Amino acid sequence: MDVSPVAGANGARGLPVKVRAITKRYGTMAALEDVYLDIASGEFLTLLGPSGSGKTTLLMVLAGFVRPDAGDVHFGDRSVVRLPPHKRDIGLVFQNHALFPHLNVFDNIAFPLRLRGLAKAEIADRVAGTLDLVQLAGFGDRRVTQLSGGQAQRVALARAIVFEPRLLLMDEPLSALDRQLREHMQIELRALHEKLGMTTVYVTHDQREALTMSDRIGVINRGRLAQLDRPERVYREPADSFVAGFVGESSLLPVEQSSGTLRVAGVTLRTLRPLPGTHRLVLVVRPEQLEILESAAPQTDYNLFRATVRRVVFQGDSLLINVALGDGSELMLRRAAARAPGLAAGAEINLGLHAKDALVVAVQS
Amino acid sequence: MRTGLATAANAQALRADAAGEQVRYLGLAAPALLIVSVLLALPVGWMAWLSLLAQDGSFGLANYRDLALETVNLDSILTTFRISATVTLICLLLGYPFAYALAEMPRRWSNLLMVAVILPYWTSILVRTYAWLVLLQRRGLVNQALQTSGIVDEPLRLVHNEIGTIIGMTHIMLPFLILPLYAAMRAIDRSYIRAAASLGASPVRVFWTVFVPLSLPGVASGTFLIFVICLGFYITPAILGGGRVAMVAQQIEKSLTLYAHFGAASALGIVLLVLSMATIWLAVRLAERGPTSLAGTRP
Repeated sequence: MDVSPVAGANGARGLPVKVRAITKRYGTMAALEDVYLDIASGEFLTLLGPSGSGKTTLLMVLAGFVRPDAGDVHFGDRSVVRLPPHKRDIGLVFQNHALFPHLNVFDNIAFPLRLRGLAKAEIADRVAGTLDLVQLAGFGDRRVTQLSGGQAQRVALARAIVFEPRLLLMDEPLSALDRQLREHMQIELRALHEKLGMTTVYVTHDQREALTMSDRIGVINRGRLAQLDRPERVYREPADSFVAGFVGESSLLPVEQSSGTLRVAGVTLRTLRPLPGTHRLVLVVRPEQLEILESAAPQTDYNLFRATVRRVVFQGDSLLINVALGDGSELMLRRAAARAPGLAAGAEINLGLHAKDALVVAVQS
Repeated sequence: MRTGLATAANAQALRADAAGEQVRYLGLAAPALLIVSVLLALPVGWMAWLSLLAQDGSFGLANYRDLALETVNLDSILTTFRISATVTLICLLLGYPFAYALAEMPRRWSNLLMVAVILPYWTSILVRTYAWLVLLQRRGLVNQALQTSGIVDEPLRLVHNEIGTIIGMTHIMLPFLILPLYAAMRAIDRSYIRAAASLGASPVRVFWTVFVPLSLPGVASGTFLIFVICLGFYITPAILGGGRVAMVAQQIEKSLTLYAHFGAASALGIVLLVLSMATIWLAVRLAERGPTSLAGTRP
């Protein structure tokens, strides 16, 4: 079967999405608070946040299953906020895949095509082509209960894209899979997205997954969009302490301010990075940015900390080292396992943090 | 442990343990086996034995031959199946929307309405049957309401006939449909509904293409239960049928009181039992061959 069911791998296939001032409250709890979001045509946007942050609520507003209290949603030029889900023409992939247990794989994928009244032969062609696309050619006759987790998720994806929606929504589709399969599927999903070019909104609580797959990441905290940016910038320039703590394995150290100088754990902080204009600040330290220095002699451009090793955790490719500073605050640093011999609990070391890396952000309580 | 030395003896001991465990588990099942054999297998076996004893004391199929020759017996079997099928169908038509409404409403409300289903279910069948007799008679509440509202001029004959029997039996059997159906409907994962809607199915299409197929295991167990229980109904058709409705159970009673002969009555009982079991077998076969295994496959 050599029919390509989903023609056209161009950006015009993707629907631009505008979210305007969306607010949703459950009782007194605000699930979404005045959210604005512009998603470009063909973009892969990830909504990242802890559970209960409102990311799934936002996705369900886009899908039409949650009616917001206020605000508007546009697909292209059209407001869809009052449109019921079945009229929105979007693909939706669920965490539990939600494949209909009374239908086999073929009939599951054919379901949206039959609703659209396609001819039998065309349905057969399209289903076969889409099964090819998700690398499940020949699985049409299987019962969905016979599929493995990864296969089921591929069928769910096939069902969501077979009718060529211009917007694809995914709600933690990989979280039920084991790590290896998950990483494999991340790359596959991303490749498929590039091939099909549909606008994709992906919800996850896994920051690594978000960094791997997305064009842009929207970090959501307590119903608000904390930061919306490219993955590198979300990682390197987090907007506040919440984003810094949620994305990557950072340690956050409180910063004391007095008469223009910043002090962390008793050490005057040198930084080449812009400072936020608020009073409550933290220093964000990424485990890979700390260096172990031979001497305690002050060096230009380095912030120097004396530290005691608390624990060394062997993680195969690397060592995760937990240290305590003079004031008792703790830090994590990572070293390639082969390059950090002889470190043991109790050892005194000198840690250097380059002024370029000394990132200070505002505290988001 | 000194391996190598103890392993052979060990294997033997472990085998003995496993065997001992089997015996103990069998022992736990013994009371149930005893109850089933004393209360079920023995009486049924005895009935089968009686059915083979003719009135003159000879042993053979004489009772079954007499049974087959008398059309009144065959008629009663046909009547029984017709009434049971009708009651099952009406229960389905009434019970499905009710169970659906219960399953869709918030639990607080559905729990309250469930009481309305279960309360009559706990009331004696005899009491409920007489209540229907009062309600449905010529000057009963139902006929009065129909007449004063001008829907009918003459009182309807609602009782002492098959209609009355069917009304009474439907009322008694309805919970047997609603309870399993409600449980099956509540168990349907709402994400299937959402998935269907996101794929473009209107609420009506979602209902027919997803909800109904997924509720079929509940429909099967409910209707099936009703049909089989209906086959053995006695009190309700006896009272509400007014002697005009002859289901198998009444026929058995009649042949006992009329002829004081256990053989004929037992033969009819055995026929009913065999037909019921055949129905069960057929239903199970159909369920297995259905589009979904109605035994219920859940991911």
